[in-house]
Amino acid sequence: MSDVPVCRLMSTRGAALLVTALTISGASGCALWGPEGGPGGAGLAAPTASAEAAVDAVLGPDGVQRVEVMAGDDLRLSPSVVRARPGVIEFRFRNIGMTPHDVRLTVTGAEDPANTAPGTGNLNGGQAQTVRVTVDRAGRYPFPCLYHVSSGMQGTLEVV
Amino acid sequence: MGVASAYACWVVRRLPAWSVVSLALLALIVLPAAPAVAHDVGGVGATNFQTTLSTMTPAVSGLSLRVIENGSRLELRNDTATDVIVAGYGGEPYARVGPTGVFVNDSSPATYLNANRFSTTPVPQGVDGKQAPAWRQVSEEPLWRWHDHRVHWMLQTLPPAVAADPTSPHLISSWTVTLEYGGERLSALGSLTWVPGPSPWPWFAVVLVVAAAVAASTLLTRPHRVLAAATALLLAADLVHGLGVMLATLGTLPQRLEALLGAEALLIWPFAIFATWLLWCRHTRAAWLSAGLGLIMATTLALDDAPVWWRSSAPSALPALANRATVAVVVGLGLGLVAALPLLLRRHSSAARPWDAAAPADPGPTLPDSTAFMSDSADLPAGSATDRGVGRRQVAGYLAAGALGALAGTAAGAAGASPRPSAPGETLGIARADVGTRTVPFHGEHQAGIATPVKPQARVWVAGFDLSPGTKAAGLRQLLRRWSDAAAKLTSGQQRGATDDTVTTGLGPAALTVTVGFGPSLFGKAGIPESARPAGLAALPAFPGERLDTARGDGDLGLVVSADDAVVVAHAARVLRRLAAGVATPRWQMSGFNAARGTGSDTATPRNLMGQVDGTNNPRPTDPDFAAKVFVGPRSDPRWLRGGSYLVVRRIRMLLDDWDGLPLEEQERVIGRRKDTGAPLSGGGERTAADFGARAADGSLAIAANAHMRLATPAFNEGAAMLRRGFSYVDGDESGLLFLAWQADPRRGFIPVQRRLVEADALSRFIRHETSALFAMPGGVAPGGYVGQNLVETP
Ligand code: HEM
Ligand SMILES: [Cu+2]
Repeated sequence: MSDVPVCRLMSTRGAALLVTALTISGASGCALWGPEGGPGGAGLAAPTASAEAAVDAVLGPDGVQRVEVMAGDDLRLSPSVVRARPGVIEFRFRNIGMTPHDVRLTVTGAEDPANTAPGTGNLNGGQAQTVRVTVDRAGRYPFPCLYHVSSGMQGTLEVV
Repeated sequence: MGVASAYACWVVRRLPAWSVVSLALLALIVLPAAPAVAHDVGGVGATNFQTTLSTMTPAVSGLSLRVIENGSRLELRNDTATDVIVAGYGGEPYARVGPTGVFVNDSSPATYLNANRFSTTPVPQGVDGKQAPAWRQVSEEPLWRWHDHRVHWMLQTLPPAVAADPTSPHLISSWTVTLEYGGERLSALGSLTWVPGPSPWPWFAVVLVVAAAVAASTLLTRPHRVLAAATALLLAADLVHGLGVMLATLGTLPQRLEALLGAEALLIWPFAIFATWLLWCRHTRAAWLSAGLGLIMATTLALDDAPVWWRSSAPSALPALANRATVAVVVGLGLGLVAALPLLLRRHSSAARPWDAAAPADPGPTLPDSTAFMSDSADLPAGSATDRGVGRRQVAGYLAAGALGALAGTAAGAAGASPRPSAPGETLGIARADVGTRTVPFHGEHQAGIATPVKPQARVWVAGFDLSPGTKAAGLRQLLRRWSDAAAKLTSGQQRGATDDTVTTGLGPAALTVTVGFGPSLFGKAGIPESARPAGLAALPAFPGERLDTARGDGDLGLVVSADDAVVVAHAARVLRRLAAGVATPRWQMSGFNAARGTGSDTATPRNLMGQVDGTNNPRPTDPDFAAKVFVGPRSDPRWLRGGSYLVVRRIRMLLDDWDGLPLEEQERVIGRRKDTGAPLSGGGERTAADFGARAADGSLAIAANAHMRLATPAFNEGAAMLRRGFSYVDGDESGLLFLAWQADPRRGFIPVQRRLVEADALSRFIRHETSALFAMPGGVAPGGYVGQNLVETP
């Protein structure tokens, strides 16, 4: 985990008391008790970056829409929302951190026990992988990281 | 103290004074440098994240899966003769557990990812789970424990919903781990939740009181043995705490011993025993040692384990309360021993001086006289006690005042940290304005009144309408257009320019919502072909044993009008009825209520007329799968229903005389939850995830096999879920529940759940389903459009 959690101090009296105590002992509240923070919510980690603006896939001369999506150690995809028109969409997934990921495009919508959905396969830190899908119906298609979807690592392809 | 200790005391008495001091200094200098071993198990310390395994279906006897180490790992034991295979993240075989031991698949990324808590091990090139398995034996035992990242939170930041409201419980995700057993697929379903912890302030108070008590003991004539006892107790509490951690650590004996001893315990505990001996032998100078130890143990434990006071779970085999208490006792005693040092030294080094004379803060240099220093207080010159009488009382007074002040401060802090109960007048004033003026937008992606407002309003009017015979397509279109226009105006508080506007003059819209839908019987009328009826909109099947009043059920059109005020609802209902004149007539109408806004807490789950907290385990709008459970998907057919929802209306009579005759514990067993708090009988608070495998002391299931919540919960209904927005009704002696349930598809919602409930539900004895209706409520309306436009305008 490369990113350092950002501290947030709540302004309760308890927090003030505690922060005083911690300053005396020379420690910083956040690093001390981890992302879940101290008593009264002191030093609670920042929320995980929430959904950002959608990015449009760019239509190439060959009629393929392309977009690059970054996967980081913050276990988030960036951009997390990709917009495209029906047709062929090519994703370039780039792992910019150390943690491995495996991003799948669930364009069929159905459950996929046979593990046939198009995706990156295991993508170690520093690697990149191109995935092409064809979507002919408008809709929202999630692309989760198989490893980290419980922790919310998922993007959405919006076909409009 | 036996012969050995008497001998030790004798030896120590003869030790030169400097040796004790240097030992103490050594302890102070060396020990803090020793790395503090955080008291965590499997990489997690105390936490509010909670992983629960709800069920494994189908169950196989001899095969058990459980969540261990606070959700850090899963443990699978297979005592059967058949191998079980755990699926990896892409569904590929990851681990095989069976009679010959455990094998992991080197071609599965999971083998590498699951090596540690944060999945930082890179996966070798080419390994993607698609190759044939390459099994490698890792254990001879049929038992495997692994870090499964599907079941815990992996980030150093918090889920947005949690960060926004950390003091409320949240469902973060639902997880599934798939196993294959003899060709059969087993699914383990569970949830990852955020469970806020208790207030730490009582424990801070315990620390202060314990510390003050130890410090105050120096006012006794013979405090040494009290301090010896305090040091021994410090050691004992630390040991108990460590044992709790050790017992929660799963692994080999050396691994578990390491959890118990760590680096610091091995260094510290012998010193603590030594200090106890010295103090028992009344060596004042040993107070240096005990203070040093107290400081080290209190700070390391406080730094590592203080969070157990305010987090909901901790890696310890001790009960949560006992675990919190051991930490409080260690920190309190440790600080008390530190505080006792100067007090003790003052008394024992300044025998000739008046107590309140300005003594040097550091008593070290004033101790050249080793006899005085090493001596028992009993050896002090007679009369010194009376000399200090007044002073001692003063000090006692200061200490008491200090302790009280600290307690008061703590209490004030606690009050500040908990939700502030505002003055009654203030609450009423704010709530009243807020109740009237609140609006819920009529236009949007979904119709209002389904997921908005999040908490159901105080009043409802539900009705089924039948089209008048001979109504044409145009008539229906006009009706829907008129209803939509009126609803847009009424819900936003605008005048309609009609004489009846004055009914609500001076009143706000009070969160008025109007939700419109179509019953199965509409299809085939007013130009809407039978073939347009969605598959989910087949009339509900008859459930065994029910006797429904069909005159008060079903209908071509359904209407739900809800607001926080009865006049607002009555007016809107009448306006909508009048607009239907000539096109549709009400077939049945029902009114219901919940507690008025402002009467109770705005965030509390409502109660029904049986007195139960009802709605706890509803899908919540913040759940990742809320929309999938409640709304028809954006890719589903028919188009006009996308973003819509199916509404099941059941008027359910409660047989309150029978119910009220049942003892409280039995009432609680009927649902599987406590009546006062709504907490599941498997333990915890209202929002704690239920543990359906938990057993009571007598071995019976904590949540009975026929408990309403067990039979109704999605985990036991193949995920079937619904959003219940119920209202109470009273009609003379009859009372009950207007059960309104919203779902993406009744075939994966109400129908399978009700089938199960009818078979076995302990609640059935106390209720009667009296009426029933099903409506498909179309998606939301854009400004300028009207409800159901896509249905009635499609050629
Ligand atoms: C008068 C009739 C009923 C009463 C008094 C009643 C009461 C309750 C109570 C007290 C709970 C536990 C708290 C909660 O999670 O909301 C509950 C849960 C639930 N009930 Fe009912 N209920 C009734 C009828 C029904 C019916 C007809 C259904 C559906 C067919 C149903 C479905 C559910 C579901 C799905 C849960 C949540 C279970 C879980 O996931 O924990 N209930 N009900
Ligand atoms: Cu990932």
